Amino acid sequence: MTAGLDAGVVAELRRSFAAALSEKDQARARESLLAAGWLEALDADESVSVAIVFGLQGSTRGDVAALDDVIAHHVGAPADGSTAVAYPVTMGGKRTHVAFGAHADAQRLVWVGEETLDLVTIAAGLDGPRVQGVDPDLNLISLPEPPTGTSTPIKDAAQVWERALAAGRIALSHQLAGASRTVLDLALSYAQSRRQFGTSIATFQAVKHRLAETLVAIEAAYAAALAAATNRNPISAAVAKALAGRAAEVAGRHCLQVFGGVGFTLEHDFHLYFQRNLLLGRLLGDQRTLERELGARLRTGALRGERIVEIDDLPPAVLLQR
Amino acid sequence: MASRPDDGLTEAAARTVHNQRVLWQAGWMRHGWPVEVGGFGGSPILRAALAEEVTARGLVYETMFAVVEVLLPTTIAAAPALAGEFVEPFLAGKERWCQGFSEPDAGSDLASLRCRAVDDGDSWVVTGQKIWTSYAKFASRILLLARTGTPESRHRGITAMLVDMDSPGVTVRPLAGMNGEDEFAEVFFDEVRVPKTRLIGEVNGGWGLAMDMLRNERGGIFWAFSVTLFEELGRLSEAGGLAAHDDELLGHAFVSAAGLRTRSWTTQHRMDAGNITTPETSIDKILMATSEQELFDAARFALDGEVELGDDPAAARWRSLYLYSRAASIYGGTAEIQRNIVADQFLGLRGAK
Repeated sequence: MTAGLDAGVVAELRRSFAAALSEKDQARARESLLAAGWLEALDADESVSVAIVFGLQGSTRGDVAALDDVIAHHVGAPADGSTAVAYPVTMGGKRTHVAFGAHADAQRLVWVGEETLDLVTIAAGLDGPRVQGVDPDLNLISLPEPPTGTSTPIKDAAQVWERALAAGRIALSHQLAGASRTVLDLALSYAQSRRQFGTSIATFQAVKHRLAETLVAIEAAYAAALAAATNRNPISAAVAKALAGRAAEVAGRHCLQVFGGVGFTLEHDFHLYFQRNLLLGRLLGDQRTLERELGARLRTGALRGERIVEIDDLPPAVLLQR
Repeated sequence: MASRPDDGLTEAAARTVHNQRVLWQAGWMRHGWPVEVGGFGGSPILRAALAEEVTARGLVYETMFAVVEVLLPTTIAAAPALAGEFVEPFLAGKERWCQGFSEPDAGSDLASLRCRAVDDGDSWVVTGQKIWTSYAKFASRILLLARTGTPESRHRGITAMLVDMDSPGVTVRPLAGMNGEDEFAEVFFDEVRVPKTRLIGEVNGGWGLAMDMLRNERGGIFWAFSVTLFEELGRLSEAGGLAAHDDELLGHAFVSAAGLRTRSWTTQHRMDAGNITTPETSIDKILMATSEQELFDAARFALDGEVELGDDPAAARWRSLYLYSRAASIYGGTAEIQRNIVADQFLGLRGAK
C-alpha cells in the first residue's frame, strides 16, 4: 500500500466501479472495471479497493474475475490484469482446479499446486469445459491439468501463497457479505410489502428476528474482513472467510423463510444470490473446513495467544462508516 | 460475563479492589478518563486497551471494567458536580457502585418500572424494589432509576439518582444462581431518603441516560471480554483428552469469539470517532451472548462428562462457567429484546403496518 484513498476518491471509485460491473457481458465488464482504474486502486490501497469491488461483485453478481488480480498482486505477477489463477478445489474429496471464464483471455496462469506455485504462459488464453454446477452463470472453467506452456516456479511458494490466500479470502468475504446484504435488503422490502392476516409480515416478531439475525451475521463477517485486511494476519483472513460463509448460510436460510414459496422459484432473484454464495463459499475454503483447521491448530496449541485483531490496528476510516 | 468461580466471589471482589487500587495509584487506570475525575484525559480507547490486558491476566473479575464503563461515562456527562465527588473513589477502587434498573415487573419492559421517588423538599423518599443487581452486596452506592412521574408516565417519568447503599431503609437480599454463586441480588427500598444533590441529569430525564448506559453495556465493554473467550478456549485446548473429533467444535467456538472481537474492534473505533448510534451495539450483545454460549457448549461436549460428572476443582470451574454462560442471552437485555431493537431501530421495521 503506497497511499490511502480519501473519502472523495472512494465515492468516485464506488460510482465508476458500480457502473462497470453493471454491464451484462463478463469480458466487457472486466474491461470496463480495468478502465475505471481497478488495478491502480488495488495498488494504491488494497483494503479499501477490495472492499468496494468485491462488495459490488456481491451485490450486483457481476463477477469479473477480480479475484485473479488480487492473487496476481500478491504473487508478484505483472500488475496489468493479464494473469489468471487456477484455484484448487475439491470435488468429492478429489483435488482439481477451476479458473474464471471472465478472464479467458489471460496471458498467464498461476497454477496453485499442493506445495508449489507456478506461473504458466498461455498464449492461446484459457480453455476448458465450463463448470455447470450450482451456478453456471459464474462461468468457471474446469482445469484438471495445468495447461501446456512455459512454466516458471514462483519462489518461496508457501509464504507467497499464504499471503495471497489470505488476500483472496478477505476479498471473497467482502463479496459474500455484499451479496448477503443484498439478499437481506430484498427480504426487508418484501417483508414490508407482503401482507397476511391483514398486516405486513414485517410486524411479526418471528420474521423480525430472522432479519435481525441475518444482519448480525453479516456485520460480524464484515468486521472480520476489515480486521484481516488491516493486519493481514492469515488466521484473521481464515476467520473472516468462515464468518462470511456463515453469514451467507444464515442469510440464505432466514431470508428464504421470509420470501416463502416465491423465494424458491426462478421468478425471484433470491436463488441467483443463494447459488452464487454456495459456490463462492466453497472457493478458498468453506466455513466448515476452515473451522476444523482452526480447531486443529487450537487443539495443538498453535493459536495460543492469538487475538485476531488488536486495538491499535486502525481500520480504514472510509470503511468504518456504513 | 463469566466471573471466576474457582476462588469464590468474596475473594475475587477483594482481589479486584486491591488490583484496581494499584492500577489507579500507578496511573494506568487514569488514562482515557477526564481530568475532572482524576484522570489523565485522552481517548477512551486507552481504557479499552487497559481493560483488555488486565482482564486477560485475570487480575480483576471481568465485570469490574464493565460496571465502570456502563455507569461512569454517562454520570460524568450528566452530573459533573456529583461525578467530581464520587467518580474518583470508584475508579480508584475505594468504593463500588451497582446498577439499579430492573424490577420484578420491569425486566424487558424497563419503562414500566415502579420504584417510586416522592418529592419531599430537599430529598426524595424512595420506596420499591430492584432485582438482578449484580454485586450489590459489595457496592457502596447504587445508580437507581426511579419513578418520579405518574405511574403511567413510562419513559417520560423516570429519574436517575445515586443512592448510598448504607442509607437507612436499604436491604440487599442475594439471589443464589444455579452456578452456585450469588452475584445477583434483590435490593429493597423502604422510605429511603436521597438528597436531591444526588440527581443525575434532569428530573424525569432518566430514560435517555439509561439508554446511554445500556448502549455502553451492550457495546463498549465487550472488547475486554472478547479476550477472556480466547483465554478460555486456550484453557480448553490444554485441558487434556481432546481429540481430532473435537476440532470442529473448537474451531466453531473460535470463529464465533473472533466475530465478537472484530465487531467489538470496529465498535471501539467508531465510538472513538464519535459516530455510533444506540441500537447498533445490540449487535455486539447478540454476538457476545452467542459466542459465550457456543464456547461453553464446546467445552461441555469436548470435556466429555467433566461438566456433568466431574468433582475436581477444574471440572467444578468448567461447570460453573458453563452454567453461568446460560444467562448471557438474558442479562443486559434478552436476546429477543436485542433482536427487536436491531429489527425496529436498525433495519427500520419499527412501525411496520
